[in-house]
Amino acid sequence: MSATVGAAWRAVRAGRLGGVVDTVPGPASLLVRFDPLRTTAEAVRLAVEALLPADADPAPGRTHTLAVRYGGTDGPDLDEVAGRLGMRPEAVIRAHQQAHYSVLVTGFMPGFVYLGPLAPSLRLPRREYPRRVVPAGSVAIAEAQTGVYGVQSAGGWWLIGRVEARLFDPRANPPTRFAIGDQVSFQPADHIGM
Amino acid sequence: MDAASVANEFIVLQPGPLTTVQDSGRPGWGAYGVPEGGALDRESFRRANALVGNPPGAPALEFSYRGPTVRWRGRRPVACAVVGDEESVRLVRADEEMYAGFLAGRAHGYMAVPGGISAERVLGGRGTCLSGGFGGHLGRALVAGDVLAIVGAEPGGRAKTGLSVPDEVPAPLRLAALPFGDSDVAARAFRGLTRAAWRVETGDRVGISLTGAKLRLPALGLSQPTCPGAIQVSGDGRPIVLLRDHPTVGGYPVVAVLAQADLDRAAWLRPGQEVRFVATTPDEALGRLRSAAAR
Repeated sequence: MSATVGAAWRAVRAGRLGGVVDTVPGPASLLVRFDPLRTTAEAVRLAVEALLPADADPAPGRTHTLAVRYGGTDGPDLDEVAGRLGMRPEAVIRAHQQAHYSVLVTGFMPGFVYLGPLAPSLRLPRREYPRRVVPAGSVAIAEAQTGVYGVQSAGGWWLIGRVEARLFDPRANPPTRFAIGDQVSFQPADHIGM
Repeated sequence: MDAASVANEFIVLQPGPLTTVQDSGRPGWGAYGVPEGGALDRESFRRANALVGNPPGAPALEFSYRGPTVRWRGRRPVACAVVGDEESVRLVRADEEMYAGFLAGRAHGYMAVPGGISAERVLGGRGTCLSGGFGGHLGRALVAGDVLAIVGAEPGGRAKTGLSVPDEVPAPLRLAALPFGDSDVAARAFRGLTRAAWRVETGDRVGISLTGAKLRLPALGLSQPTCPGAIQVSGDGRPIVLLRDHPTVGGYPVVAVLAQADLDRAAWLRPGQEVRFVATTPDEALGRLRSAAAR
């Protein structure tokens, strides 16, 4: 689904439709915001339909590999996650970095990257008490998703590691390299020679 | 030294609970989680800029509930406009203080000076994005001791000093809303929204949460993109009106979307204020937007 929305988003964005002020993909839908003083809902609908790719099986986006430092101060919840799942921390790390994830959506807040699906063996409800401060780059899990915080924020997911790479840079265009439909995998930082 | 090299700046003595540099927003980056942002009450923001002879989108200070106190450090006096419950323009001399005071009737006010507050353009806008920590003054709300440079302040400005009083915020405040979704359940929830008497519980730049009744809308399986003016229904059945710093995607179902012409008015709301929602149509909403744009 995210690959389909991603392809539709890229096509509509590339169409540079007059009067359209923003295009925002979600996990299963695409928002096209327009200025009603410059165009009409009907004109936007027709133009968007004409731009939507006919390909039912769209090409995946880019592939990213992120180096993660798991556990310790970078992933302060790793031990508790392991305890709740009845696994050893090493097994949590292995299960998390063996999977290949799709970018389901970027957003809710700047640079946050939602990834899925998370291995069923790693699924937990969100933390009961959200943290007031989650550092930028934190790698987190909750329910069927894993994600990376692009900027420092509050957050209720379980923090298992942190990436060194800067994921969100408002002075770059685009501000993050991740887009819906991209593929992401994680590797322990020491395996990449950081 | 020539006049241009003389410091034209404000020293923040007391910032108020939440004061940020804002402009007319940076739409277009929702796909990366960046909200449109910008002044919540665009009309008051434009008036503040107009009072000191600025173009409509010049960066100005937006304050919530209580305005900042600043000291002017410049060789010549500067005109300083404040638009809140009242509109005023004052000439502030070197080393004098400007105090914007408390707001009684609405949540947000604006302070503008000729030329505008200096702020780097980031992602197409100069306003503060609090969730992203960028834009405006150092990507954050003002704190005591901050120094705000004024862009090429034309000291004195073209403004005439004076005071006027804009319309009072009516109680209850009536906001026009369009139904969202076409199921029977959505239609029932929308009727519930337009029938109940609501009261503001909390509010900030992200949104306003209301109490008064419980709306029933099934939870979303997957989250969906959101926009300013979308009215979500939280898990406990309360409406949340999203404002311009809204999260770009949300997991709560949406019951209605405000008429765009009422987005500024929604930003007036303070805790305790009464709100009613009135059903409108796309044509009617567009008509009101056109007449607002023509003013």
